[in-house]
Amino acid sequence: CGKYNKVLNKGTGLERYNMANSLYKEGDYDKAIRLYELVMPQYASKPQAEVITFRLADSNYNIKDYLTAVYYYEKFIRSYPKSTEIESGQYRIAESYFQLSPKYSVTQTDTQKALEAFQNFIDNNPDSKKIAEANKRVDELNLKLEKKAFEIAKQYFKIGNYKSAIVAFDNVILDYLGTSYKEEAMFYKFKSAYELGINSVVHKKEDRIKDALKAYTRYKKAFPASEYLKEADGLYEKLIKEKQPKQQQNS
Amino acid sequence: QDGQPDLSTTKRYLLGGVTVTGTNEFSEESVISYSGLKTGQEIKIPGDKLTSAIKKLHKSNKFSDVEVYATKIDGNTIYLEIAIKELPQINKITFLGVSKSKAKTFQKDTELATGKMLTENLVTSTENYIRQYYVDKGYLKASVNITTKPNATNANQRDAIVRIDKGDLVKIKEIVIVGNEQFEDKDVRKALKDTKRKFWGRFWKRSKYVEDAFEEDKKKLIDKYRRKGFRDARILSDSISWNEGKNTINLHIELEEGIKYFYKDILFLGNKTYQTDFLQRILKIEKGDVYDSKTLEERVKGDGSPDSEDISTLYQNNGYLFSQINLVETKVENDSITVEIRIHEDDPATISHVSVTGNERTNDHVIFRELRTRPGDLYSKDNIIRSIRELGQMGFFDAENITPDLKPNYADKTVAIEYSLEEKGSSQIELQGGYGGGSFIGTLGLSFNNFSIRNIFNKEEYKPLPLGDGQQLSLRLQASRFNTSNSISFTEPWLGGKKPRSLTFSIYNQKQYGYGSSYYDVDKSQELNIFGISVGIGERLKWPDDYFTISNAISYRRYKVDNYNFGSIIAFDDNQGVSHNLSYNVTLQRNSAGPSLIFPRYGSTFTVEGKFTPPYSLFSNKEYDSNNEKFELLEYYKINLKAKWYTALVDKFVLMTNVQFGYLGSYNSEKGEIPFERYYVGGDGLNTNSFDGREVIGLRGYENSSLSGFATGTNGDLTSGDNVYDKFSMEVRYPITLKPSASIYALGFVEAGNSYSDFNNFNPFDIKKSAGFGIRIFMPAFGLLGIDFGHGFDNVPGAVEKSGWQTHFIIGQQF
Repeated sequence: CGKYNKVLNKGTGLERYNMANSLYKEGDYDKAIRLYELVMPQYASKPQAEVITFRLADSNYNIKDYLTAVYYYEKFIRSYPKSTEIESGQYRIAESYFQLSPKYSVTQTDTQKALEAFQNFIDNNPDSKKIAEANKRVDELNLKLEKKAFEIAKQYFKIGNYKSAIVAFDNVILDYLGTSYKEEAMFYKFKSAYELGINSVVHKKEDRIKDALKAYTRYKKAFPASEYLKEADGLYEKLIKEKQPKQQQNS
Repeated sequence: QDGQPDLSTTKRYLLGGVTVTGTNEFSEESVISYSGLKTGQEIKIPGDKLTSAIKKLHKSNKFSDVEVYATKIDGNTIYLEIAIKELPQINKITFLGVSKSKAKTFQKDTELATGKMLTENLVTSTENYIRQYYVDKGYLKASVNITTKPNATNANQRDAIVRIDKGDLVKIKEIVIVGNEQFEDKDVRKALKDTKRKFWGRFWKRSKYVEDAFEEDKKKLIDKYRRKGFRDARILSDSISWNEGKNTINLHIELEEGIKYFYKDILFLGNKTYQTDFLQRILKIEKGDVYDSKTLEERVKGDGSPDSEDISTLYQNNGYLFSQINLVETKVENDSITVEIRIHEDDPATISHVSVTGNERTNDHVIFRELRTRPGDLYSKDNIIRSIRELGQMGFFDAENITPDLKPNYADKTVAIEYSLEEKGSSQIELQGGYGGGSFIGTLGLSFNNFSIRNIFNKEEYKPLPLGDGQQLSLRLQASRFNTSNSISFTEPWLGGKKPRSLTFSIYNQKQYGYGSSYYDVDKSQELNIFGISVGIGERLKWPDDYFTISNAISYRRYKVDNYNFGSIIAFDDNQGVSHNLSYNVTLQRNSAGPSLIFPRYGSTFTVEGKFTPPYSLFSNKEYDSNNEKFELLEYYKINLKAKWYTALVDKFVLMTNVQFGYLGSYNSEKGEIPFERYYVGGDGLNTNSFDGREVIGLRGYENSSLSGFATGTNGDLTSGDNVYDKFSMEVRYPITLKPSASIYALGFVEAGNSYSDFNNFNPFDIKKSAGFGIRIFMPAFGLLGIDFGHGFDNVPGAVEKSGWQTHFIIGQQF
């Protein structure tokens, strides 16, 4: 420790650089970062700069300072486009944003950045060993965005704004093709349409019930074995009943 | 050189390698990477790739000279050399003629920085930037000169010296106006809002010359003419002349007014949704009126304010996002003009998506439930404005910085709306320790306005506290030798998440001890203990309009007086007794003030509050022998009215008008007045020592509670508070800064009010008046702090002299 302080305060560039490297290898990243940052300007246009930049990025990644890590990885990729570590740098940028990506219910700016970064990694390194892992991450991130959209739609349903709920559930299905929330979204869309139809003002009732029945048919066709089907069937019966007397009156 | 390629014909080569000469600061690798050339690529010589490589290097602004040679040709393979000359780098920058801090800001705002490459362009643009900075501030003679000299230690670096001479402030001496007949010179000058003559009494408005402001002012002048029908008015010329030897200039403006025009006819074309009569009523302009093109434009296209009443807003509020309205003068005959309002309605747009970004803490569900724009709804500008207001009112986001981004999709007639927000601190911490009233006093107050109670046991959500569900939790602990006071309250604004129905729960306990033999001694045998608990439900109403809320609460308080004299004439016998106060409170409020809670600029707040205890005495014919029997079950009702209006005045000034009134009555005259819940008027209005459940009403310019219930009892002067009060105030506010880190505004006020022992004595003209000024600072972590200086023009009861100047410190309360 005493030696570290001595080198930190009074060491030459080379001493600092060497010590930083050994600290880095030992996994003492905090200390390594301080030394690397100190020697960086000195080695700015020398070959060592490549190692320094990459290890700075790496150390920051290891101490979970992901934003700083991204900064150095990006700098590294810009400055040394021919380095052999580009692939791992690109992956780490994506992984850093993945770590920064918060729970679904707050702003998803970092999730979007992570998705872009993984896509960038996949595009640039189609033969990488990490492709499978990257794709898994992409799925995980997309699922988060899907959940966000689905929960917002569900809130419209919860507060009784069925018209908006229908549009929002449709958005979930259309904006995220192949989403695993499709079944639930279709079911809730039907349920929203049901509520809208059953509680409708007279002059819109017929159309709204028709829409609800359509939503039921689509949902049943897409998920004939859905776990919510039983509840849906019950609502369907009620809709048919609600429709019946009107037709009798008409005929 | 040998093997130099024949440049007369284009030939393809394989690039075998690139070398770089002339580098100094840059590595060979980075120069190659700038050039975009790659070993192994195919290259035509002469050809595009080589030219673009040279261009790229030039464009990087780092080299003054770039040349490319072929060093070797080996069959089909070519080896290139890039010979560069690096531009000198800036090493030291010295600013002369300005303060250090100014130099720092210039260095931050310009590109001039150590390590930058020194280019002609950089020097000129920096010079221009700094000169313009001073010219904009009225220093028309400012000169800026940047020179460079070689650095002593490094040959390729240069030191820059920035010499700034801002010169004297130039003021306007005269504004000479020629060609004005309709308006007098002074009216023309008045229209030039930010360009004013030098005048000894002018300390409010500047009299310096600022080109941009003058350009704006010229437009305003022409607008002034247009409003009076002078459609052709224009400025023929304007010029500046210098007054010799002095730092003043004269402005010359030559006008041509033209003739006054009138409307011959106003025609609507293309309106299908709204009838012409209806649009005519919004337009409020008739045939034969003076042709005021400015007002016409405002009534058709809006005046830029959120509550503008115009035809365009009418369409925009009812889904017609894609509507276009054009004004065309179709016929000009002598002095009469025919105008066509051409409307292209298009189809109404439906909202397809609503999204929110920037909510780093606050959960989606807290935000989306407040938004008034929802998928499937028709687009409405008004609903967007309302949504922004609701978001601002939450207090979690920077209200001045909520921006909606509209993404219209013309093909399917939809629009996606994205609100971008910026979180701001919404928790407040108050930690005080001090010496007061002869003893140590300590306070710990915590209030979290965006709490998340469901995450209270979720470790991961502690960053540093579980926040984001929009719940309010506040805790307050206060202790000194003479008293302790603890309270906790919790509010969930959307109970169950289905409806905007809030639940508030609070519980508190206060203990106050009396004085012993001396002023500094605490006597614990004298004790007043208040325990209280209340539960309330609040609801938003849709009728009469959706700015209304109603809340109902049940509260219980127990006052336990043990050998304690709390200084009221209406007191327990022998200062000993217990009082139960069970009441039902109902509050009806309409709040349309906005945009922010801290500094509203528009709207109003009305509150009607009623508080009722059960009328126990109506059900029993009990006779009361003593005060203690009367007070055992408190019996009263209380009505409070409060109204506040916010009106935007000129510039950023806002007028706040406040009227309030309160009445505390009893059902049964037999049982009479109660010692608690009474009004105390005067002072800063802070509820600091309210040990008897009193209601403190601020009235600046007078000492705290000095206007209420002056009475002389057997033990000397006692206060008892009053049963009726009124208060009127007008306050002009001016925002100094409204940043999320701190909002500061200055204010000036006049107010008046008084309290009265009962309704028979109530006289709204017998009021105590005051005026003064002050400042408020709101910082998210500390809440509101302020200081007011008020002058009371009248005397307080029992005094013969007027109250005079009083200083009030304001903590956490708004007048």
